[in-house]
Amino acid sequence: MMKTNNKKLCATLLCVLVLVVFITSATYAWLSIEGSKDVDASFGDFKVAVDVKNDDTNGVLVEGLYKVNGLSQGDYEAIEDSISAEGELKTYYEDLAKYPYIDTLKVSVKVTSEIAGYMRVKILDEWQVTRDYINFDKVSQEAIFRATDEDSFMFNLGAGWVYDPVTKYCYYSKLINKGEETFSFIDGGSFYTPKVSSYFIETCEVTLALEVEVVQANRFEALWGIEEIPQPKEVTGNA
Amino acid sequence: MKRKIKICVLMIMLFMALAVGSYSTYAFLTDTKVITHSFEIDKINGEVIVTGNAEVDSKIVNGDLAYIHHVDDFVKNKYELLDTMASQLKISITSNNSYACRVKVKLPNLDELKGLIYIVIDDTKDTKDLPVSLQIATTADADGNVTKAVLQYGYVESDGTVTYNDLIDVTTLYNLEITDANIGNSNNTLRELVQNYNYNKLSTLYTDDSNIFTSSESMYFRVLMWGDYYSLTDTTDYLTKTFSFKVTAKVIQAIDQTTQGGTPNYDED
Repeated sequence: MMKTNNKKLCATLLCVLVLVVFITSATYAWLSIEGSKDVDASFGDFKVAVDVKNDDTNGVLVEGLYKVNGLSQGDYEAIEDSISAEGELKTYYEDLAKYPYIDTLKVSVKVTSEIAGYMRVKILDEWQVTRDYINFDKVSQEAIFRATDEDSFMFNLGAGWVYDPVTKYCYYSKLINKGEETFSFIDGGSFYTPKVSSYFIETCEVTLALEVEVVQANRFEALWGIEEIPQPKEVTGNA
Repeated sequence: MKRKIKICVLMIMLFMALAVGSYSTYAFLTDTKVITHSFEIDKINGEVIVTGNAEVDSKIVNGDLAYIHHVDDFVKNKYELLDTMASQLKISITSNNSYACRVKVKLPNLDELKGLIYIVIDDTKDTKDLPVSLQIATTADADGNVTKAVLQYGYVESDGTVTYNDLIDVTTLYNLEITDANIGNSNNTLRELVQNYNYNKLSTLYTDDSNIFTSSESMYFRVLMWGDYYSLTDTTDYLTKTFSFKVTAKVIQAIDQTTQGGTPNYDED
């Protein structure tokens, strides 16, 4: 009798155990749930486009009009990301009323940026004056230079740009944020006024090249060797 | 005869239990809906939304990583650009259950992400769309020596105000003289600090009772990530490297632990 009861007890316990395993397993399956999302993370870079134009529709003022799209990486060790674009601008003394044509030169830089950065541009310009002596069948040529970098800078820089005479670069003084933005870089200018007399006519020819560099914002010191981005001088009024 | 019947019944029940148990376990382990925003299986359901820069083929793509200098930027924030240079992921988890749930979030360990470093910060419904601001707050003694340096975060309100909260104590790294020779060691220290912080943050999100939520409630947090050049084992093509970052969230019925008398365990649950 005792033996039979023990067997029944064991069987019951086994049934209960199986039932517990069953219920626990089944219940646990709906007590939690998991979901996931994959993310690919890669490094951002810059794209730079330079646009040179002249808004004077009456004269042919720009030869070798260029528009360059260049790729610039978020560089870390070396300046591999500068682009260089060259074009030739010629100012012709053709129309006294329109003189000088450099006034209407406009250069803009479009930056498409995936990370924050800073930008600087080096202006590589050559000025050559050709004097044509009308009655003597004689032509002379002369290269001209700025007297000083700072005082005689010949291009009007757009808002936010600062020319640094030490590094000889024009710096955009503000942070360039992610996204696409076009910056007015040159808006006219003046440097040399070709002369005209009854003996000769001068033509001033300008060859302009721009070198644009964009660097990720936290690396300007390491790559450009400057401690801070040059800022526009504060204009103080007279007392 | 009865004995045989009992044995047969027991055998059948055992097989059924094993079959159901195995199936349940299998379902639990593999019913992970990869690349889906919402999930609903049986009686637990919720929603995990991860937002980044873009979404291509149901995958989040963040293409705005930038390398940072781990001392100049991360420890000293020399240019005050640590937040600006961060690539961000915003993560929200919503429970659609009527009962209380916890959320266990798993992110990749930094050891698996050589070349990437990230931190997890709290977010709320009110802050999730605000820009985040990071700063290093320092305390100096009378001689000007920095005795404490803490990385802090806050959100830039519409009026420009920011209330900062402590994130990671970086005092030891702040006062280290970092040279090219020992930069590797200091980098490991930084990654250890950050890894410990992230682990504690995610663990607290799961175990802290204040983070239990019920129907229609959401949990928000943000991941800020940067490139970490010095932890790269191979610097070839370092600018074109891509990191795979998997965000996994597991919603667990909070009552489960209570009824079983256990406490939530981030590593084992």
